[in-house]
Amino acid sequence: MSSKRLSLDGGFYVPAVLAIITLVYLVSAMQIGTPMKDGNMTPSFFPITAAVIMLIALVCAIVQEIRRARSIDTEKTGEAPGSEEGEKEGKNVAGISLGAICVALLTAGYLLAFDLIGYFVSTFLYVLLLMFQFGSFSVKSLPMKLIATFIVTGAGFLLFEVFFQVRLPTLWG
Amino acid sequence: MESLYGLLGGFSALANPETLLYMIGGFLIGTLFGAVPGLTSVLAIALLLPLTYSLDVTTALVACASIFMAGMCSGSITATTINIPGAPSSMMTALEGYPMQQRGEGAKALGHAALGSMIGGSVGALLLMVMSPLAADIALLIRTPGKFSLIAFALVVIIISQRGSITKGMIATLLGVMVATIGIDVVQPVARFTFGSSVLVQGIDMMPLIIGTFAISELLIQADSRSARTVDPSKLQAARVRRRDFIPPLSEVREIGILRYLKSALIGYSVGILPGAGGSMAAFVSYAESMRSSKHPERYGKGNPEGIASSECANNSMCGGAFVPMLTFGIPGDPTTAIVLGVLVINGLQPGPQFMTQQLDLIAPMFASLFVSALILVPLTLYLLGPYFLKIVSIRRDVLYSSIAVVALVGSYVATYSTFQMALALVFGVLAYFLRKQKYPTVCLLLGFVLGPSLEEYCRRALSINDGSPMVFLTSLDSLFFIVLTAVFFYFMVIRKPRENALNATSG
Amino acid sequence: MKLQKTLLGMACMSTLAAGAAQADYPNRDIRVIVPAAAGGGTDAIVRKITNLAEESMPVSMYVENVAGGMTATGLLQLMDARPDGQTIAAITYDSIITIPWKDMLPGFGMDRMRMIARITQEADAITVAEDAPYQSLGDMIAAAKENPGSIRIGIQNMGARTHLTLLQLQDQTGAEFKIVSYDNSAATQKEALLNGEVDAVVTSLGDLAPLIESGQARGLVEFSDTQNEGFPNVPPVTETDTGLDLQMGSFITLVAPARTPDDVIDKLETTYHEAYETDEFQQWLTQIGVTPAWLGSEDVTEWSRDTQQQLFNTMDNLVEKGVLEK
Repeated sequence: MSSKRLSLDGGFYVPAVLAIITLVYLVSAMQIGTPMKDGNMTPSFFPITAAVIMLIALVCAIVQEIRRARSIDTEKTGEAPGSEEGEKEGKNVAGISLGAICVALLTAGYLLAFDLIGYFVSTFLYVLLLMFQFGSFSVKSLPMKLIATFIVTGAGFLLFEVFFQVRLPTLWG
Repeated sequence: MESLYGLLGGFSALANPETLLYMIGGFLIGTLFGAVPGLTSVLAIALLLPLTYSLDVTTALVACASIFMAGMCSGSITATTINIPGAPSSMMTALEGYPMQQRGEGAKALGHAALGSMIGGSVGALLLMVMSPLAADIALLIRTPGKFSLIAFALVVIIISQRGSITKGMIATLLGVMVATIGIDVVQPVARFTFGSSVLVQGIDMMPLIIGTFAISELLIQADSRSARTVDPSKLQAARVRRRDFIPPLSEVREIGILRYLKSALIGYSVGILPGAGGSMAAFVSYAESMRSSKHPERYGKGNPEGIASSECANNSMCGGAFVPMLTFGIPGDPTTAIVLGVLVINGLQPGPQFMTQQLDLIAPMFASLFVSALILVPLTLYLLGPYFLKIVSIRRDVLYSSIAVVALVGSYVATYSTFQMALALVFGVLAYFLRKQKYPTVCLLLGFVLGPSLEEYCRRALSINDGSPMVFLTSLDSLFFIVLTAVFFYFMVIRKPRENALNATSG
Repeated sequence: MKLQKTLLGMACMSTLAAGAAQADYPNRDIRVIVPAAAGGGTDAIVRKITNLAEESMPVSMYVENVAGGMTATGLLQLMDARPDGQTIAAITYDSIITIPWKDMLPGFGMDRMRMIARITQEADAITVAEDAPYQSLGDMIAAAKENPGSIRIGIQNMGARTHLTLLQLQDQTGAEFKIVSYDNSAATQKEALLNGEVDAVVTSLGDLAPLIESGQARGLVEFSDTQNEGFPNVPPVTETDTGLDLQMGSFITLVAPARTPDDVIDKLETTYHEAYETDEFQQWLTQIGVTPAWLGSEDVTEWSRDTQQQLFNTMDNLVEKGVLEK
């Protein structure tokens, strides 16, 4: 059993999660009203149709995926599942790469900080952390990265505030 | 006659220094994004999209056109020199260009690519300008049931032309359609899927969707890789080119023949008109046709300038064709024109048959930019910057991607001054990341999002005109035409699939 | 709920900020939101008057098109803007009638904005293709009674203004048309009229001016009580032999967010009034067939309430008869 569980990777979970979202969508669509009224389509007809076709397609995708997983299971040659996805580098948690989680979390943090502490501080920190994420971690490269961060932050400010004349939130105003 | 003056007016608009600056700037950015492996010109235009909120619409369109053109030809640089196509559309160029590079003829290969791009791009842009009034007239013949079938045709072709699984293409498309239904209904003033929140009443904007699927998801994908630069500098050591080698000898150009250039341009233009096809399809079809009609098919794959010329000519000519369905029906066939449609919508402009004649003063500069980019900027950029290209494509990844992150996120903030749009971009970015990881085509997501509302509107209107009888789709000629066309495409692309398999057999 | 509280909090904070800054109003560029597509009638009118108003302002005023959601998108941005007069918007019929009636935008009501002035009014009209067999509204109604549902008429959005106009016409005359809904712009209606998908469309004459001038379309009747100077061949409904008195149409009103200080509203009202009074603007309006209809801040607020109440009653009435859905 455990080997079977292992082989169900993102190929299974992505359509599965989408199926849950689609179900919520379908329920919400049905609450709008009946799909047909007086021979005319109502606002709920099209979403319901889309959701139903979507569910059929998702079931197909899930079935395909389970079949694929089974066939890998049976002819297993000791190779780890998911290796064909091209993840040669980087660690991952539950099939999602750590790097991607990091970038997503950093970005979420940046969004929160952006309105609160303004463009400069938040952008500087965000860019600096991204520099480490997309480059190497060595201490030696720190001065270089600081300078680059400063330039990127400044260039962003110039581009938006000066060149395109839009107001960015700042800490002091 | 009036439209001719309008079109010429487009060229004079380019004489405005600011517009000219945006055109050249756009071209250089497009060249950079097209040449660096991993970056595409679509990403460049996506990053530009939020800025168009504060840009003049004409200027924005001019920049989009030059980025589009540049992105189509600059992929050939890395394709030729280091056998890594900078963009998918230059895959075919790598097949012929890299062997030439190994023979020491890399510069000449680039020259042929540039010449092909120049001819193809200019012919495509000219065809677009000449044919657009005609296309608008034809478009007026198509009524609501026909429009429904046309969009259904577009969606089907988009789904089946994705390499890989049709199921996945369908799922991505439907997801886009579903996202687009959030907000106010297309026919009645009824809010749907708002879950009680007033921010959702206005619906999901195209901007965060595009930034999310094309920029943020790219960041997440790239976060896995640990290399310091986009291209390993050691690979570039051997690949050096000299400026005087760029100009292809006249004898070779003659051997390729003006007819082959024109035929490739026509193929590219036609593929461009088809929804969902795009530059790589144009290059592939033209390459295959060129090989079929060649006197020396055995030379293909071994560094034949004919192959370079025909594929580059076609993918640049595709740019002109791709604008036709977008401007006349509001149906974009590829991500770039979808984003250009976004630029129009942001500025409150709705394409349609009359759009071209009534708003020609806004659109003509874009046509002119497409033409000038191909005819002048393509060769000029190669000649002036060619020797430095190889240094440019190797960029520090940390600086590159953090800059992209800032432009993408701050851009989506300034577009509407709300962090809500930024958050939405992140949500779509994460979603698109998972979809891309599982090889779901995100292009389908975007096009489903763009075309879904029209599909629904036309469907409901067609039925309401005809007392709810779906037979109308078969009884009106325009609709029947597109339904038959859909069946034909489905037959050739799904049931028979001859050429693609043949190519996979030879190249794989 | 939480969001509303946050918005309220933000609004309060920004009122304080605005209070400090209003002395030197206007000190920054003023953003004018047009909740409609560029190139349409509303857009053109707001742009024209704003350009004229800008001349007497020390700062520039830029018009931004925020189309979508039957003006809801633009309204939302106005509601979220700081009440300091740096952001104002033009609103139309849908903003104060359709959206509140349908309760489409949670938390929105007329109390969420302060009205600066009404600039124009534009009556709805019935326009047919040049080769249509009907010479007058009477012809058309007679034909519709003879063959109920045979005449196809294009409107903009089910349940919105043009639909209501047509429903009232049906209600008052007993004629029955086939109603075909187009999206919220005149562009698709034009296309449908040209390619023969519909026999007539209901929208303002100004929207169709290019088609009428080029002779491709012909105005049949305008739902107003005075002759439109821009279209001398199109009679107002009160002067037709049908005996109807059905007046419907859109209008353009300038508004600022609620809690915008009085002196700011005054400043904007006087500035726009000067622009409105210029010969250039008046002549231009006549030329495009739109009726100038100035109402100052207080008057327009009262007028809007009355109009809203009256139309809500009409619509509730039609709902009771089962003609309209709420």
